[in-house]
Amino acid sequence: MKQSPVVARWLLSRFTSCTPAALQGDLEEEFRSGRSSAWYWRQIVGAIVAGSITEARVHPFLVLRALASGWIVLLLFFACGDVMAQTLARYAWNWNRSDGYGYGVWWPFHIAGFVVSYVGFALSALMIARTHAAHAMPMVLAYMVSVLSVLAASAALIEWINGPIGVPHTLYYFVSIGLPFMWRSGFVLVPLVIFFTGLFSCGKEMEMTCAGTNR
Amino acid sequence: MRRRDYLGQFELMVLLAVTAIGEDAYGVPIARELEAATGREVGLGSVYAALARLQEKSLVSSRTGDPTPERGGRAKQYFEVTPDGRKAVRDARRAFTRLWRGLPELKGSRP
Repeated sequence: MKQSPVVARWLLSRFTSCTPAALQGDLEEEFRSGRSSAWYWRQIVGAIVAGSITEARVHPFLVLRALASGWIVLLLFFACGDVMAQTLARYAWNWNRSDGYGYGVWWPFHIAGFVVSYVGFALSALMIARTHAAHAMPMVLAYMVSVLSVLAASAALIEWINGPIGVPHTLYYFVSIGLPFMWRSGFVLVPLVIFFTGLFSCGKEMEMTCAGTNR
Repeated sequence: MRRRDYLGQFELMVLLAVTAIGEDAYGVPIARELEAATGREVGLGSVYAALARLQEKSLVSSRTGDPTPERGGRAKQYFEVTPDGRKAVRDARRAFTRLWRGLPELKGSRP
C-alpha cells in the first residue's frame, strides 16, 4: 500500500496535534488514491498555516501569554548577555575588553555575542513550547513572526538613521544579527532556531493533551 | 451584523459545497467540489479551518463516521448545513442578487 511521507505526517502531528483526525484521514485517502508526494507536502504546509492561524484566532490570550513570556525570557537572557559573551570570549580565545578598545580586536566578542544571541532565541522558544502544551507550535510560530517583525523593523530603523546609534547592551544581542556585520544572519537563522527548538521540545505533552480528541 | 457572524467568501463557498453535496459531505468531496468550481487546488487544511469557523457560528453541524483502512484507520467527519446555515445562504444570495442587479453592465462581460 502506498505510504504517505513519514516526515510530513510527523510534522503535521507536531504542529497540529489537535487537528481533526478526519483531516489526517482525508489526506491519507487522497494520497492513497493517487495524489503525489508534492501534493501531500503542499497540503501539510497549508494545513499547518491554516491550523496555526485558527489556533491563534481561537486562543488570543494564549498567544499574548506566549509572546509576553517569550520576549521576557529573551530580554532577561540578553540582559546577562555581556557577562556571558565576555566570559565565553575569555575562555575560548583569551580575549578581554581591553583587547577590543586597545588593539581593535573584536572578532572573539562578535563570535561569542553571536552564540549568546542564538542561545537566547532557542531558550525563549523552548520555554514557550514547554509551557503551552497542546498549542505549542502555533504559539512558537506566532512568537517567531513577532521576533522577525521586530528584527526587520529595528534593522531598517538603524539603516535609515545611517549613523552611530547608541543601543543598550541588552538589545545589542537582538539587533546585531540583523545587521550587515553579522551578515544579516538573523533573518535566516532566527526562524530556523526558533522553529526547530519548538519542534523538538513540544512533543509528548501535546500528544497527551490531545489524545483521543476529534475536534 | 456582528463581526463573528460575518460570512467570508471562502466560508460561503464551503457552505454552498456542503449544501450541494448533501449527505456525503466530508473533507475530500468538499475540497473537490471547490476545486471544480474555482479551477484551483484547494487546501484541505483551509477547508477544515473554514468548517471549524462555520461550526462555531452554528451554520454547520458534524457527525463522525466509521474508521476505514484506506484512511489509515481514521474516521470521516460528515458535515451538514443547519437551518441557520440555510438561512445564511439565502441571505447571502439575496444580498448578492441585489448588488448584482445594481451593477452597470461590466465591460467585456459578454462574449
